[in-house]
Amino acid sequence: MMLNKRRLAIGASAAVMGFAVVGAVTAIATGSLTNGDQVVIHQLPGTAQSATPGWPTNANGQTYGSLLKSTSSATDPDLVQVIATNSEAGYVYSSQLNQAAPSSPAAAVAQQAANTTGQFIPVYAQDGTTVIGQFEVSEPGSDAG
Amino acid sequence: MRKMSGVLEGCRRTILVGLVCGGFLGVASVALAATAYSAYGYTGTVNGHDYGTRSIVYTQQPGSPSDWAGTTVYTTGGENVGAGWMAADARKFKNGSLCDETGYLYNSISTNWEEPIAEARACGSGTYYSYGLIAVWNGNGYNYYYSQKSPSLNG
Repeated sequence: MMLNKRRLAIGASAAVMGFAVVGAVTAIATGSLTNGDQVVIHQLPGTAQSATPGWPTNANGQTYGSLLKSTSSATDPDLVQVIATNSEAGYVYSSQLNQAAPSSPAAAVAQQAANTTGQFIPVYAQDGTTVIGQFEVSEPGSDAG
Repeated sequence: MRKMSGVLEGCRRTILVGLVCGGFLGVASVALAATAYSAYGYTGTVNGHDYGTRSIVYTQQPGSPSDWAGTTVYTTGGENVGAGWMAADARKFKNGSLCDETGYLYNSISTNWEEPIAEARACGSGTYYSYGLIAVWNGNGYNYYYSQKSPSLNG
């Protein structure tokens, strides 16, 4: 009886630890790809300002369209038109497309050096839920400088 | 003897036709390759430096894996900035869809120029644009801008 309780306690602890590890890994994996709110991309000063496009919406009420029409990342559609690595036409979430802003130039260089495999995000059908492929948002670090 | 000379003549003709055809193909492949540049755009002064940028698209032939798009960022005064102070993210579009991008690539050493090129894969035949992004250090964080949009090229 005592042995069963101990086993139960060990099992429960292991489950909690496993959950915590998976949660932490998931947070790290998505944290660097979902901070679209922090990065706002503007048009260059003096550039002719075009009107914000009127994006169409899908059945789930999400806007979608091409970034060629974008005037600011603050007004980008929810779903951005891409071609997946498997050549399928689909959409990625704009919140996942704009990567984390490094905190300093040193952090930027370090982050770039640490990226040895590239980073991928899911590509969805127009409904924003059906995954049909993946898109590479960041190639392995290299530069021309 | 006359038969022999006829064979030689035939060979000569074949070689001549081959050379002419090869020449035409060479000219055609050169003619298909094209490069288009956007106008230059400027950030104005950011943390003591003025930056310029433009986007470039290159197509070789329909669907070629050698097609690429590039975005450059540089200091207009030619002075070097510290490592990590500027970055460019080259984005290649086909028929309006983003088909390839590099992500922001920062200058890893002190320099006055950075030009990532998105050329990792073939995106198939279509109308191509280059419309990248740049980031420059403002002392407390980064300013992000769209570069200029290149003219379209069919590839």
